[in-house]
Amino acid sequence: MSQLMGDDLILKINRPQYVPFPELFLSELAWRLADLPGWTGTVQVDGEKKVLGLMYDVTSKDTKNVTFKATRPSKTDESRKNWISALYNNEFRFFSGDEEGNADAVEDAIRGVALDKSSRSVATPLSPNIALLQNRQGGFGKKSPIDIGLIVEQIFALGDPKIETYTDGVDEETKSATSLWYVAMRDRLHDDYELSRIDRSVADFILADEKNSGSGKTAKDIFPDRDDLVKLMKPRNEMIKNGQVSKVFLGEQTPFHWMHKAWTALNSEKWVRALPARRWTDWATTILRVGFGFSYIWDANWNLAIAGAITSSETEPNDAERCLYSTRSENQSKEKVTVEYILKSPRLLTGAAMRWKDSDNSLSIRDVAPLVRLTLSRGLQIRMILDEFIERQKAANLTLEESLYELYKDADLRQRLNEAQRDKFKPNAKSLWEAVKYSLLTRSGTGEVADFYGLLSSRSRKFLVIDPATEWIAAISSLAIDQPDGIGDLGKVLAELARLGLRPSPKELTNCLELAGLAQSAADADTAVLVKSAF
Amino acid sequence: MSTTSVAPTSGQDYFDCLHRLTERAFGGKNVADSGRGQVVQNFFVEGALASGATSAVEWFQDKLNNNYDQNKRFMLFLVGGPGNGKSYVARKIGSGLVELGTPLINKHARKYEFKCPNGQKLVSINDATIPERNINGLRIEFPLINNIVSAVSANDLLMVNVNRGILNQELQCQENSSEGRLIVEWLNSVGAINASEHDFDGWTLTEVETDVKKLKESIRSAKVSNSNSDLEINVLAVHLDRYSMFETQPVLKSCNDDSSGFPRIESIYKIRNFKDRSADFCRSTPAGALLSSFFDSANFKRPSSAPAEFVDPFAANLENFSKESFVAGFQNILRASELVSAKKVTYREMWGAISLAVIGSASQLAGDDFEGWLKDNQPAAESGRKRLSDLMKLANYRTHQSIFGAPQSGIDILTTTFKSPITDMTSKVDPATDAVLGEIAKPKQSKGWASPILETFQSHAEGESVLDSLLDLFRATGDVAADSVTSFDVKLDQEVTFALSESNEFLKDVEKRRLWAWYGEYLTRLYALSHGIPAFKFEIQVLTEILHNAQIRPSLSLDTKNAIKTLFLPYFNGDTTNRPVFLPLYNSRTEPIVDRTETAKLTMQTVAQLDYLPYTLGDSLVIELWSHVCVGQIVLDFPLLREALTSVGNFAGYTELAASLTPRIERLRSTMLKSGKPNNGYFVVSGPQVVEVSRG
Repeated sequence: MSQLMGDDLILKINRPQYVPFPELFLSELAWRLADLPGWTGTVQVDGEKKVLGLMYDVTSKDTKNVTFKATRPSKTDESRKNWISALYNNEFRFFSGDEEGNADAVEDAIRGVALDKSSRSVATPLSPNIALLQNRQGGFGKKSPIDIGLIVEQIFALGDPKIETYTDGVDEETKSATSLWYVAMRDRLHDDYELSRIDRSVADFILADEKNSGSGKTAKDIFPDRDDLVKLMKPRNEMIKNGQVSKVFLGEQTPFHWMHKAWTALNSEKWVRALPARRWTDWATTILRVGFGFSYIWDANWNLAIAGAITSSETEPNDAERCLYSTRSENQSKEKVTVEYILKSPRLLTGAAMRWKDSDNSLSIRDVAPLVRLTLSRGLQIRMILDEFIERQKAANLTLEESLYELYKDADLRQRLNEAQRDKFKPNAKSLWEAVKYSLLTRSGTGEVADFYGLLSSRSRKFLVIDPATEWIAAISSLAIDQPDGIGDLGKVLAELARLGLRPSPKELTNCLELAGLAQSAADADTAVLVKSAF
Repeated sequence: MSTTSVAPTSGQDYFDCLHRLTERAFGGKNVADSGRGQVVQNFFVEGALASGATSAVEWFQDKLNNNYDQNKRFMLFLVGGPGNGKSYVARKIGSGLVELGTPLINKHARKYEFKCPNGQKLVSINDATIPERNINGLRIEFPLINNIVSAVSANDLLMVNVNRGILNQELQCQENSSEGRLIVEWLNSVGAINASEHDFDGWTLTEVETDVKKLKESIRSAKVSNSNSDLEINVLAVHLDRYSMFETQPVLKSCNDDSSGFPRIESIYKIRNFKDRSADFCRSTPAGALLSSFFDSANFKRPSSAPAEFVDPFAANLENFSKESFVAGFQNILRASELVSAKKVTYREMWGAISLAVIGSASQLAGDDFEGWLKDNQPAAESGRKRLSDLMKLANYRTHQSIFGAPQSGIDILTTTFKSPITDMTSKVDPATDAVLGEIAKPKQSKGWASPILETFQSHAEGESVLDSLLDLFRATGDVAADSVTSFDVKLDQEVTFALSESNEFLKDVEKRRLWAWYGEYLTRLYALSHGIPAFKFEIQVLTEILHNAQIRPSLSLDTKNAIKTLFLPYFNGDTTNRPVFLPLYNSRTEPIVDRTETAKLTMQTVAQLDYLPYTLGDSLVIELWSHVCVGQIVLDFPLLREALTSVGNFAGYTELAASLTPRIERLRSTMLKSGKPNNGYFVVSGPQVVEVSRG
């Protein structure tokens, strides 16, 4: 492991906000690679500069800083004309009937889940060009919303065992979540003629838009060639150059590694072939939702573990070595407090991100909200203290161990770290809590827009319980088995969930798998229950 | 060598028998077999070994006793979950052999070794789920594969008890090729295997059975030979939990066509139509034979005469089990619970069910003094609130209440539920949850059965005994349910009748209503159990009919096919001639377009002619959808079948399980949307119009 510095105490994951449309996760990956200046940045509206907010459908009025643009073809006569022409040019022919109506069917087919009462809706990001039909400015309705694509890359990198070898030079596509996705998409389009011609039609339609029409680009110019590693890795390399990625691999028992593994698996050829386009997109979104939500809980626990190491009565400073030692280890010999030591803290090693109680318990026992809220809030307060210290000590260029020593020696900071571990929920954590909660919450349980991919469920307005939707279980367990049409065992699924900090009882998980039609508990005991892949 | 104390050959007296039952109750001290020690005939009579294991034991014992070619190896694998009798078989095989090494103190160990009469060593892996450790105490990875390889190299006989989860774990961990892996892979496969794909490092596995149908049976044999040497491994595998012990087991015959002498299947496992499960048939099954022997009065002692006022629900239960029709009903309920829950009742669960049926949850309360417990719990002598409450408490131990895990109610006590692995299964077929009007004797008029009970309750007059009216009816119609009514039930009925009469006010109105409901369920269960009627009787009959027929030929009746088709792939009502099925191409829900659409929908039309080919694997029913190639596969379990049977015409109905079944149904449909799967093209469905989308 290379020498870690004080700023490595803070995991480099940008602060989150509640992501109103999960489809934005994939769209933002697409926007990291797309070269489409006409639909990027600011535009002049009535003499004012505003950010262009793209949404598939939008009825919201412009805000002070954002001007919304609906990308759905039927919104204006002009765009509908462009759409019909794009379809025609890409070999869409309808044997009879109303041409406009048929064109509407295609645009309707890519419409995403529309939430009631929402003035904005998204397209399902089935392919790279369709994914461009919305952006984060449109989704959040803000000038500078969080960079979701960057956050996904940061989490993905933190889960990569090879993170310490990352450089900003040309690298394999497997070292970027974005390029993995893009290459997988190109493979899908190669095999799926219908989707491919819709993707091309959307590309032509985008380029025919007034804001892009003068660019001289063709459909092939929007995204890099799948073999052009320089362009494919450019956004990731910029992230490294800008110091936006951590340098430390935190082990395999983290949501980061879970996401890295699951994302790499899903984007492999076998899963791209095994899943129909819509399912694949839903699973991809699920991985990113889950990885996003749990990463912030782990980050909070990491901060708490650091604070615990600094404030523990079992830790003492070594002035000669300018580091901390602990006597906590089993043989009672002193152990240097390092990253490895922090990772061994029970909170990170065997702790639960949220307690998955059996569903036959009462709602109040199953409620996960109080603990997760507190963890996130306390973790955030500690992170802010650490941030303040690192900023103050910037010039000193302290190593990670020296930083821990200095934090220990600073009575005021130590006291604040102590208090932060016992704090009540603070209002400044509200945004973090909502980001985590809504990334994991089932959006709608019934009807045409039913969300089959949520983990959490609101009950009686007061409780937030773990109640995985059937397809959440299907996706997570199938990727744990990682063999389309294959069979694994319960132990494997439990092991993958443990990376997220989820530790259901074998009985409870078996019940969930049985409900999803993926397991039968009768024949084999405990963790040897056989689990079928959903596809 | 034996480490097991020899138990009495049968219960010494009635109360001793009751106490002995606690040993096999769930959580009892003797539910698991150690796999070592002498086999003795005792109170818990021996059941027939499941799924053809008897022939396998004979085959293997022949190998222990005789010397064969030095280049031949013999292995027996018993595959299945806990409680199926694997350890019992191991004990049977090891019985009489000399154990090698220092006998282990632990009751349950992974491995035992014995010296065989032919001089070879027998390595018996009694429980492959227990990790194996080397001399330094370190855990050995993929121990089973290592055990196989070691046995081959040391020319040991090998017997292994293993569940499929372990097979799977070994295959996931151990990627290196070896004869051990080859055998584990074969054990884990279902149906035919491709020999070329199972050829490792000169080792080739050849399935002995050539009839593809029989490859899905519980007993399989294979020869593993090595092209670089003359070694030949003869492997026999029995999948112990493939078949229900309530059905006709496969018949095997010994075969001496070569030195391997593998037993061969003469007739296959047969699933009986649920409506044809007569008392005679039930007696012929392994479970039936076990129940007959166990409840024989020579084995299970009957109570000596007691004063008329002595109330004993356990004696009432035993009295029920003296009747053949009741024993058949009991079996049929357990069989129905297997079909509905897609699980098998193992021997361990069977003993748990028997214990539950006779002593209910008293196994936890009475300890070793059933006589004392019964005396302490005798009802108050005088009619009234106290006597009713006491009787209701005792009624909770009646077979028809306890076996379904019925709520344990009473006056002035909190209602509780006793749960066990068996009630997890049986509660799903509790007849009180599905009492359908109709009469058993008139199946053509209605699918129901509960009219005698429901109508008697409806027409019940103030102060009259419901049970008396029912008994009159049963006797008039020759209904066997009359035989299930015991003196316990009569005493209970007298007290219920007394409590419900208007003149008595020791119960509040609300308590009377609750008592009325409770007693209704009590008698409904009593009646249903005496006839072996589960909840969802009709649907279970349909399922067994499909299974029964699928064992004979791979086709479905038109009604069944239509019901399944409507559930999974309903057609577009706008074209009733061609009945096309349109699946929306990229919607979040894969719900076929059935009616005219509000907006235009881009869809894929599934292939027009799909063949629905059913096959069985044990009790599982798999339906493959074929159009030149297999385009999808449905495991049609009971909940899905129930859902399908609610279909009317081209419209799918819904059961209370729809929310959990819908994603499964949509998963199958979306499989058909995968690129590369055959289809009938792409269409826009707009209102009533259908327009094809063409290429260029």
